Amino acid sequence: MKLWKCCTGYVIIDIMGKYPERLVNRCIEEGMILFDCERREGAVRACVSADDFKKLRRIIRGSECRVRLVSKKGRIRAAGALKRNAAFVTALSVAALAMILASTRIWAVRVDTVTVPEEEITEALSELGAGIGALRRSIKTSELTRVLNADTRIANAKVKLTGVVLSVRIDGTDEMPEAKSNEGAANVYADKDCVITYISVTEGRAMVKKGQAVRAGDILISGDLSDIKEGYWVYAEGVVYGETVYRASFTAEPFEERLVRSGTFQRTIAFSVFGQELFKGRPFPSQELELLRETRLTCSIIPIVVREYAAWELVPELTPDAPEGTEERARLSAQEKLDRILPKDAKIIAVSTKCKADPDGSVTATVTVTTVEKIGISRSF
Amino acid sequence: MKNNNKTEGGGRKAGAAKKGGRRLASIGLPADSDCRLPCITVTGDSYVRVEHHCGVLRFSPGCVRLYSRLGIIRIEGEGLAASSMDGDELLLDGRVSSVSFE
Repeated sequence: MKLWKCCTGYVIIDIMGKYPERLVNRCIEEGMILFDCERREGAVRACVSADDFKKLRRIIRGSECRVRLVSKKGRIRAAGALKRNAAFVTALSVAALAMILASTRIWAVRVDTVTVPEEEITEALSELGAGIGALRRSIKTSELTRVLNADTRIANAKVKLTGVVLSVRIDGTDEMPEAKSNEGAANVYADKDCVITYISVTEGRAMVKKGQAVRAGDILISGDLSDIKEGYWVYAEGVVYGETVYRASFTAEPFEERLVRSGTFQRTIAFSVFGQELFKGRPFPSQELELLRETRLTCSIIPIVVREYAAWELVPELTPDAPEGTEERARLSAQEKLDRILPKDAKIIAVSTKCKADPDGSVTATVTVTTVEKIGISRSF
Repeated sequence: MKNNNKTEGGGRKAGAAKKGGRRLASIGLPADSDCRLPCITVTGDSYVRVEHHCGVLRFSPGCVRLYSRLGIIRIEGEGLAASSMDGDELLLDGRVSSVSFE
């Protein structure tokens, strides 16, 4: 309520005179709302809304009271202050306009690079129309990234526009390492065929870029820096992630091997004590038991149950399978095959399965898994 | 707190209002369904809401006297102040000690 009063604006008045209550009653009769009324010495102090205050002049006439304006509160006070300071309002408007206009342009360019000189990057950005003062909406960070990555000295460039600041980060161009002996120098090689998704060089020089396809054994980060200065070899280090595709296929025949009864059976006896069954012997390696008779031994203290079974011999036989079943078997077998070759630390990003039916009824399932994994391995050269 | 409802000297209007209240009671309707009668709600000893009053007779921090159809309502207490006042309703803040009809 207080907040609403402040928003709409109100005035604090003192009603002085012979019978201030009479004026209060007249105000109420006129539909005015008075709030926070309290008696002061010789006066009634009350608050009225700004609109109601205008009505007061008419109501006072004829009454033997005077009304004194104590203070203005809320919106009207702020509006009054602004009315008196037209110059201030104008200056405020101009400043706001200037801020809005200034926010449409680039104010600062921050370049985070070590080997490639900062001036060179800034100059390149200015030539591309992304210097200080350029319009923010004309900046296309993807385009700038593409152009910067085209430079052979840059392995990975990141361009980011945050507010009015354009930030550029150049990766893979670390500062010149200290001269080391050839001993202990190493390269980072790819240990499988993949497409590079991320490369960050700690030491050495990046030989590949993001998006580039590499084969197993290709050099990813070179420790040989002798072209910069003779005798520079380092132990190349860095983190390289690549997208690798794994594929496995399995062909399932339209027949399924199932165990069926051969027609031969033998009688066998089992003793059951406390739910545990003890068989006298196992007639066949694969068998199916059929209960023939059950006898409970009443003379014994321990509850023993004697069961007589018919043990049917089971032999493997090929039985035709439905196409859906064949497809399911092929898919599961292909998946099992793939699980054996997939590295445990690989992050799977896509899985697809394709099934193809052959004219003879067999089904070939191919499961393709795309992973992202660390592919760099350091090895001495 | 005392709540005295004095019946003496209510005047013609007050008598009519009282009769009206009794008639409503005789046909099983609550007395507050007659919008001419004042309705006084006291919450604890801090708030008093007076509905259907007919104006302010006297207003001071120790005593507030209001016109109504049943006569003059007298509210006594300490630091009484009207937090809201319009043609039909009056909200009083402060420490209320008694509400009575004169």
